[in-house]
Amino acid sequence: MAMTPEKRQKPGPQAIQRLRVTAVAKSYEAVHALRGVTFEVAAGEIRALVGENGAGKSTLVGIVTGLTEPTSGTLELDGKQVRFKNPLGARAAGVAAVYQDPHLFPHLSVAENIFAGQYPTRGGLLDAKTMRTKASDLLEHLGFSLNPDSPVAGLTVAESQYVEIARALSSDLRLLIFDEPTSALTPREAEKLYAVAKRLKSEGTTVIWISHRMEEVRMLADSITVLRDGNHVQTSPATELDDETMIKLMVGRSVGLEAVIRQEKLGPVRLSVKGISIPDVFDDISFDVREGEIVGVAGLVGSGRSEIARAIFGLGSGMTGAVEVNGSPIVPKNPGQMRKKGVVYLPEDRDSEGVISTMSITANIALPSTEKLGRFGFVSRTKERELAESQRNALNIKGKVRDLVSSLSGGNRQKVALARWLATNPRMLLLDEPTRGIDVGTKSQVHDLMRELARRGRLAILMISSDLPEVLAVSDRVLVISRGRLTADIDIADATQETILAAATATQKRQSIP
Amino acid sequence: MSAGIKTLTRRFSFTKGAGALRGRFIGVLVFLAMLIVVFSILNPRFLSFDNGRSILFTAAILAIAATGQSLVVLTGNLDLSVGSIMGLVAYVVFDISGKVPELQPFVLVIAILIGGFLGFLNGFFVSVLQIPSIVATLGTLSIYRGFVSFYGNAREITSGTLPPWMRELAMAIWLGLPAYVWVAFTVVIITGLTLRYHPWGRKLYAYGSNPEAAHFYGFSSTQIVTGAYTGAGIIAATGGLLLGAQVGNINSLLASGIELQVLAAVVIGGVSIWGGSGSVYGAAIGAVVLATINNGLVMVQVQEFYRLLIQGAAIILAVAVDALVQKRALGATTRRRIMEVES
Amino acid sequence: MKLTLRSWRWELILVVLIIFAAIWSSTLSPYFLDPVNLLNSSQFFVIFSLMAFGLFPIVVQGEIDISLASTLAVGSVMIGKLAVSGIPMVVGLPLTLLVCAALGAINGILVAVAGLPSLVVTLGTLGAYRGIAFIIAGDIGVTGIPEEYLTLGSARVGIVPVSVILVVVVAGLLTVLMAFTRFGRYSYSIGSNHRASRMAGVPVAATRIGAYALGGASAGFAGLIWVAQYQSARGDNADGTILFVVTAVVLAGVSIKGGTGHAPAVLLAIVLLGTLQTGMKLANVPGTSQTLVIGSLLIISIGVPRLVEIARDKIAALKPAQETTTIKHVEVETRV
Repeated sequence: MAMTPEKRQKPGPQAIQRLRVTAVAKSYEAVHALRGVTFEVAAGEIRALVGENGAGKSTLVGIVTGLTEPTSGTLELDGKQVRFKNPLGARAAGVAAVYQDPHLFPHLSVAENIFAGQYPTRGGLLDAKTMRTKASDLLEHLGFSLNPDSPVAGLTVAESQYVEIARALSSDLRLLIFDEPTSALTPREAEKLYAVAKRLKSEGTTVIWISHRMEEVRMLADSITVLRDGNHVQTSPATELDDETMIKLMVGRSVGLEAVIRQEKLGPVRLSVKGISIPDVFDDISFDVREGEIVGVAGLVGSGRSEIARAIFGLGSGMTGAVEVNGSPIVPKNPGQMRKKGVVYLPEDRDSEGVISTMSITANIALPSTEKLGRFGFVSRTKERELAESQRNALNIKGKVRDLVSSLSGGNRQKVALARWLATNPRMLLLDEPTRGIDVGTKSQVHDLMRELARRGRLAILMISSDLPEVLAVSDRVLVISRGRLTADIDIADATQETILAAATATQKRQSIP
Repeated sequence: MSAGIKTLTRRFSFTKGAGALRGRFIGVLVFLAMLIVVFSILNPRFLSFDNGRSILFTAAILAIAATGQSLVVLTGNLDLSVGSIMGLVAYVVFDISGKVPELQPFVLVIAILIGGFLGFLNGFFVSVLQIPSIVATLGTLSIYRGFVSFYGNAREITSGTLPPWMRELAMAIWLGLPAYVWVAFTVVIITGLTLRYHPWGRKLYAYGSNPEAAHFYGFSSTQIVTGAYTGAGIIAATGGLLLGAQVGNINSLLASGIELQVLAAVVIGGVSIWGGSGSVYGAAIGAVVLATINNGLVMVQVQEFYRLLIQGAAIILAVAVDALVQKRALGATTRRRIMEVES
Repeated sequence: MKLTLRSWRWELILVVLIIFAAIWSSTLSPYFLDPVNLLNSSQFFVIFSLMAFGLFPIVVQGEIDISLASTLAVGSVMIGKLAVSGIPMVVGLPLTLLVCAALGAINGILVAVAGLPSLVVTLGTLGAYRGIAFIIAGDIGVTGIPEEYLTLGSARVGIVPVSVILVVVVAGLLTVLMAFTRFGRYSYSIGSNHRASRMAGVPVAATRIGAYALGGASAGFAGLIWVAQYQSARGDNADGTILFVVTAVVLAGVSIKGGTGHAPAVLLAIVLLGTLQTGMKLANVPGTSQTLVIGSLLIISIGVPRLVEIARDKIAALKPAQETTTIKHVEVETRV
């Protein structure tokens, strides 16, 4: 691994920074993922990047590694301005990232993955021996014991990440970004990664480490950058930032979302789950949702919240435990069955699972209700249209019902996704990130709708959200899931962003979910 | 379970992880062995050297065609036009060499050029025009086949006009085995080695294994897919030549309908229909398995009609096994997809 | 729903092409336009129409079935055998249809439940069912079929063969099925996005199996027509005809990826192909050249729109990038 002269630099006020991000912004439609972020990282520094979900960390990583182009702003690498067209270009310049879901080729060997696209050759043919030795050296250097000849298919998640890291190192690396690397690892596997980061630092490579784990950040980082709502809040040396301050900075206060105190009384229990588990996904979850109640479900991305909701909706396999709807027990088997019981689920991935974008608003809204829109298996187009029109008016969806859903804005698409369920007269809504990627105006419309549905319409609502202000503004009660376990069940009066975040990052029992 | 034992069982397990992939190749061999045993019991004459030679001879051309098809299947596509390429090349090349005897030593070169072009066209339709490979090769199947009769006007090519050296090759026996078997062997080995040790071969497997990652790393899918189809065309052309020389009197229907057998050989041989997994060696063994089944059924005096039924069932069975193997092999790296909506 | 001119665009193109093809064919032979001749020739395509109709819902759902010709053969030989054994058609036909539907359902189960890719599954059953057909038929096939089973081959209403009327009726039924029933709605949504459909509570597996069973049954019915027209049945009936059927469906503007397609267009596509093929016969074009033309049509019908798309994308990429968010109001049922 050759070390170019610029890599190792003496830190000092005059030194050229390894990475300088200047006024980088990125917006999608009406959503501002990043709003003019500026900071810099020195060579050989380990910088932790923290912020809640939606703070803009992933977007920033995407821009720095060439996955997306910024709407505005510049990047400088070792003093030179760069603009990456794709991850390959970034890699060539020495910038790479390690994700939880690495892009690997399962059927190829470890060595072949590491050197994919840059195979050592001899006389036009693959130099397998050199490749193998180089791969072994690389892996050893990093402290991983992997057989370079074994196919990637059988590796554990941790081992896949090792391969990804080795791959990043196989070219001249200047900056390596770790995006939530240890969330799926055992403590021992995590230790390995910490060692790698430290080793990289000693060799002059800059490391950006994204994590929610305070102890980890504490142990590794030289300095910490806090992002919030797409803004850069603060960058300080780790010694000058304690946990409390860090959380306060991450959390802040957001605009425009106000809680409306519930006047109405709660009704009977609509949904009751007791001790449900799916091995390696979530464990021993129990809660109730009553008619008229909005229960918020907070937690980090990947903590298992969606999986819980999907399992209740009949999309999971191998779930144990008891589920009761309106007091009668049921074994969720498929969405059609649950829908008939009045339980519906709005998926997180709106565009590929929540709506069918190539079909019209009418077709989408009418789909779950098809059985009721005609007799003897026939479907009345008139009834379909009437249903769509009434939902369109009720939810204020902008567009003609004949229009394709793909032509709608994100907010309106979400309304269609919601409308199709509301048309079935459900009794229980499971909403997964209902306002993600939606502008503020529509967001509050959706919130008002939710309150209306719960309090006046007597629905029971479970809302999964990574937007803490939203959770606090809308919920009557907050459940917090951390690493597949229920770590908190708080009444809204006792909930604050700090307590929720603390429960979401709780690591009391360090169980590995491999 | 301690970490050490865990790694050990993983390494030697045939049902999980990488072992599952390895296990499948061995599974094909075991299946072949079982077939041989069963047929030998039902008719002891099955196990004679003569019969074995006959099986290998029948398998030779199929193995060559299967090798070419494997290139395409490894990228996650299909080539239904392989029989038409074989027929077209045999007809045209032998017709030309009959009319221009000076070209007779070069029939192989001409064949490769034509086959490569036809394959390239396939690749163009599939990767540039993005026509699904089913539809594209279903179309070229009939275009190429139709071209033969368009070119030849239903005239038959007699064995008299074939280059003598090819006719001799068809009947020659080297070191106890038919020459064709050696040729097939060479084709399979060369293709296999190229796939294993040439960077392009690795790219092919990479693309088949994970097209998104391949895109991420800047592999040109057009290059890879077109290259695979072109290679398949070249190899099919070679097989077509050999088939023509063997048959002697060539009409416009040569090799029509061979697609099913070729695909059966490929799939039975463990080349995954999802791409990225399997080897040409497996495909060649698949061809031997098919030839064994055909030969065995004749020996046991089962009606020819059952052959189609068995071939069809074998394809389905092989794909089902493949689906299982892929699921188990990829289990660890696809943990995130636990809640995949089934449909 | 207003049926605007735009949503019938593909049908209009087909009609124009049919007119051109008819003009071409009539220049090759004055007998082409003779109504009696026309109707006689059209009888030939009844079988393909039925198979294409059976294939239509499957392709709309985003899958394929290339075993239909083999299922037809099973149907024809089964009917043949039942017929010569003296079983009345009123029993023989439903029995055969049931068996063929079951064969189709097997395809459907392998695809929908076992999750195997439909092309390979039906490639396997193409061979397997062909084998079954041969096994039932034996070496020589079936001849000497009782009159009762042959009626559909020769019966007429005036000068119009009953089988042709049947095709039109089935086309109508198919249109109603796909446009006005639950099954049709579910089929289009599954073809557009099967994941979101499952999320919405659509019974994806059952709908899939239903489509395949329907395909099998229509192939079986085509088998009856075969027997009625050729007065015999053999194991190799309809071998190789799947190309024509798939071409017809693709030519009808049905996207092979699913989610789009208009049933009436399938009938028009068959008429177009039929006109072309009849014309080629009149021009003494050899059989395999005919398939050359058909194969080319298949590729052209998908390739040309793609080329246009690619050209359009390349031109758009040359223009300077602008951040425009245009909300387009596009009509329903756009094609590929």
